[in-house]
Amino acid sequence: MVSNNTGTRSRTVTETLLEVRELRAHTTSASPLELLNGVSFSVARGEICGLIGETGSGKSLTAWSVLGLLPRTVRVSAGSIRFDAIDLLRADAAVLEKLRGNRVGMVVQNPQGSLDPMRSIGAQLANMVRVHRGGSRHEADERARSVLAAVGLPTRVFDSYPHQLSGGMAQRAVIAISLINGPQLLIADEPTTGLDVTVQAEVLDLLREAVRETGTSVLLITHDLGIVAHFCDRVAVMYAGKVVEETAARTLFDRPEHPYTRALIAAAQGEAGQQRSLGVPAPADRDWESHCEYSSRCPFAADICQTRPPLDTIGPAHTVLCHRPWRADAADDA
Amino acid sequence: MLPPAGPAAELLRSENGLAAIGRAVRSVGEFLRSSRYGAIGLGILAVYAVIALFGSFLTPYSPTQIFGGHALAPPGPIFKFGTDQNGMDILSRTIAAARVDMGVATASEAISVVLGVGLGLLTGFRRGWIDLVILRAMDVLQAFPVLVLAIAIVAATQQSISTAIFVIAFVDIPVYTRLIRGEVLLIRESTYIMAAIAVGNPLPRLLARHVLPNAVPPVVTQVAIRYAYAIKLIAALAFVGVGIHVPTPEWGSMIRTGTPSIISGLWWPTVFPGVAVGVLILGLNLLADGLQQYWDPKSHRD
Amino acid sequence: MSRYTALSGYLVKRVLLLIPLLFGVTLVTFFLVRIGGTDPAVLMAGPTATPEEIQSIDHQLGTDKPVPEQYVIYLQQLLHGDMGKSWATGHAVSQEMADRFPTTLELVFIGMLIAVMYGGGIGFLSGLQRDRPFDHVSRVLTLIGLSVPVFWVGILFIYVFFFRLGWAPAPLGQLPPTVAPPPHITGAVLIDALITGNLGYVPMAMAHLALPALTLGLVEGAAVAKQSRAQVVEVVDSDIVRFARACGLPRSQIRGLVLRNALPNIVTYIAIILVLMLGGSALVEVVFAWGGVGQFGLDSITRSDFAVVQAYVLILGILSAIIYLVADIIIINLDPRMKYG
Repeated sequence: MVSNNTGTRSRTVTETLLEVRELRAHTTSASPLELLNGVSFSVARGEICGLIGETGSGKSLTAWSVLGLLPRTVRVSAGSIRFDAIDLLRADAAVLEKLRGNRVGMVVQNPQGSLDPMRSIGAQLANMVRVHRGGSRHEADERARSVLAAVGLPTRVFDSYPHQLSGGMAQRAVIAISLINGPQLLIADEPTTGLDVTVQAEVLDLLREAVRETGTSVLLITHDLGIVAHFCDRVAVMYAGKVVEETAARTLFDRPEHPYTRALIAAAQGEAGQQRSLGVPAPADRDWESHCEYSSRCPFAADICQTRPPLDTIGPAHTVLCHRPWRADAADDA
Repeated sequence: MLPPAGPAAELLRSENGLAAIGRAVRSVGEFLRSSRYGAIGLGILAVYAVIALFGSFLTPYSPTQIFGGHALAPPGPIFKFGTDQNGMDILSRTIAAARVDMGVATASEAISVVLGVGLGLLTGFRRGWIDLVILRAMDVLQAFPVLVLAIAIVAATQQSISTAIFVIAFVDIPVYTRLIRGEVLLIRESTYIMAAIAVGNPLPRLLARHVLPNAVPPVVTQVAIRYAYAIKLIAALAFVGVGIHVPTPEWGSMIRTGTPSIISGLWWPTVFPGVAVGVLILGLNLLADGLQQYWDPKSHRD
Repeated sequence: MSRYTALSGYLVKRVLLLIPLLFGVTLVTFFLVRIGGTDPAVLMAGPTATPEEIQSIDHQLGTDKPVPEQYVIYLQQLLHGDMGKSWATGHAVSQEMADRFPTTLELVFIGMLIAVMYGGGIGFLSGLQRDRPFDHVSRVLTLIGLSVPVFWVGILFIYVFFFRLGWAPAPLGQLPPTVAPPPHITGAVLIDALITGNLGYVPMAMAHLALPALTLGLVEGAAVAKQSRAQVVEVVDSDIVRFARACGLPRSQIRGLVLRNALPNIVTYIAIILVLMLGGSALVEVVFAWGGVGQFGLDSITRSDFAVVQAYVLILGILSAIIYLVADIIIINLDPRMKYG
């Protein structure tokens, strides 16, 4: 198996909508901690890409950094984020403002806490239209009403306030807001985590319907493999601030290569015989340059794992950050 | 009472409140390192405490000694802060006033905390009509501007320092009561306390190990804030002429004595005591802010 | 439940709650003159009273009757507008209060305006400009403002602006003692001048109003500034603002969003501070010899004119309750979560 360290993928540039390369971010405190240790993945046009990881992996941070909305205590230190040929990290505030809510939409984890409690849903929707597309109040209201219907909300919601909506309805409203201007990319940060199980499925179905129709790409952040399995075309697995495996969703479940991916899947399926608890090392203790951060929990760790892990291309558009990926390992043991 | 064993007891131990106290004590050093402003505040408070305790050794003259013929002398080599219209040395009085003001404030806050915490525990644990009556009474009291109520009460009873102490204590009790009551209500609902009660732990023990240690941070922060307010209140009472009288040195009454002279431009009888009060309150505010930020880093003070 | 039912239901409940509060207030003032143990009639009559005068007041108050009945008599008198007589001035207390009330109102109103505009403005801008130079400077100013006694600031201002700089007139009340006031309608010089059209008085009245109002406004404004900043910062850090930015809303809209969401809590704090200001204004009145209800009340306290003291505390208690009620009403109307249940 020839390993290709540069990790190039077999896709043309025009197909790639969002490309994140070696993204690094650290805290702004006196002794900075690195929270993202070189994250790389990409999202193609019309593709639903899942970014999966556990708490502390850095997946939410990655999502918010695309739009340049990191918390005050975190700053991007290196890497690049390209959206359709625009370098987002070097773009100025005016450019970013034009993109947000317009060509890139955001669905949040906490819909009821994120909508403006002081304005009605209809007003917030219509405002989205008028800010990015202009037009008369009447036109904006009409568009708002039609989008509300499209996400399955009754007409009375137009005049309702966020506190009058249930969790599921609030999330639908957020989805409406994020899609109303027909974005090319939708970033969804754990969109179903705060919702009841029955509502989760509804919201996901709604999301899928909406993007299939319009060909919108999705970057879906989640910790739930089940959602990834049902929803995503591609998956990037994050561990301790880096992407350790990136491939098509089907391939991930059929032939997972990275030991961490295998452990995640095993845990999700409730398999007995898990070797260690799936914890994530704290940012202060990480050093991907000197060794593989997963090695301390990895059942296949060998001496070589105490050096910097390479980014191998295992198959078409399938990369792994590992010294001993599954298939290569099995083949090598000859 | 059952011996400590089994899952409920395990739960109790893992939530040991006493360990929390130990941690809190050790973290004073941490606090000082974390918040520069808090450290300055604590420093100021410490300096004032020293002055209050050892003031009698620091004053150049007796604070109540009248220097006939030297009334309203400007600051100079003999009287560093000048003299007031009665001929008393302002520096000595300013220093001596620290003991009076801080003494009253400390006594008031101590009484207030003890009674307030007690009432808070009472109304938190026993939910009856007494609970409601006490709370409503506190609502009514808090409806008044505190200053006027305090002045009126002190004036209506005998006008003495001890009355002032009790009135100020009285005024602050609702603050602590609500705080403790809130903590009690929170903890009441938690499962491990229900487990503890089920296992058979007596109430006082529960209080000591769980309610009180958790209540320490907000109470201490409030003490800093209310102490500052108590100082302001004492000064205001004395300024109005109620509770503390000449010749007792007190910052507020010194300002009162000095007020008529200000029109003629004699600034020292009022400015020095005013700065003294201001710096103390400033220190307390800094300390309170530092404490608040230390215990709840989310409270956006940066 | 329809929108308006929720709103009016809450309002009704709130106004109804006012009544027991007012009863409580009258209870407090009733017992105020009875704490010391002395016969309230003796207190009301004053040190120069003759035994006959004391006896007559005894009769009015009903001190021979049981305490609950005395309370009822007290309430009845209040409802008739009878608050007793000031032994120091010899006039009815209600008259004295009414004469002076507009003067205090003038001062408190302007003071409040300054406090809200200065404090709210500084706090709001500070919260938006967190950690920038403006924020640091304003926080220092705010801290100082919170730490100094309001009466001392008044004295300091007199020294600096009157004695040293000569910008402000002497602190001898609303007008210089040599000038006759405008035709008396309310007793508040500025208001009377405006109402009667004697606009010549206005500059002088405002000059005299300036220092006391600034003292009150800047000192109490510090508290407003601190709370406003804290509220603004909380909203800025919230998910609401984060999502609004993710939607690409322009900065002007974000500012409006922050203001809208911070306002309800800021209004609550302003109410609390306004009530505190009622006390502070009394002190300021004393320093500047303003001649309002506050100065009269405090002077009455020191000379033991208890009928006035009782009335003064009562009026302040009622005013405070009204301020809280008005604040609640404003918040209900501002916040859809309250308005539409």
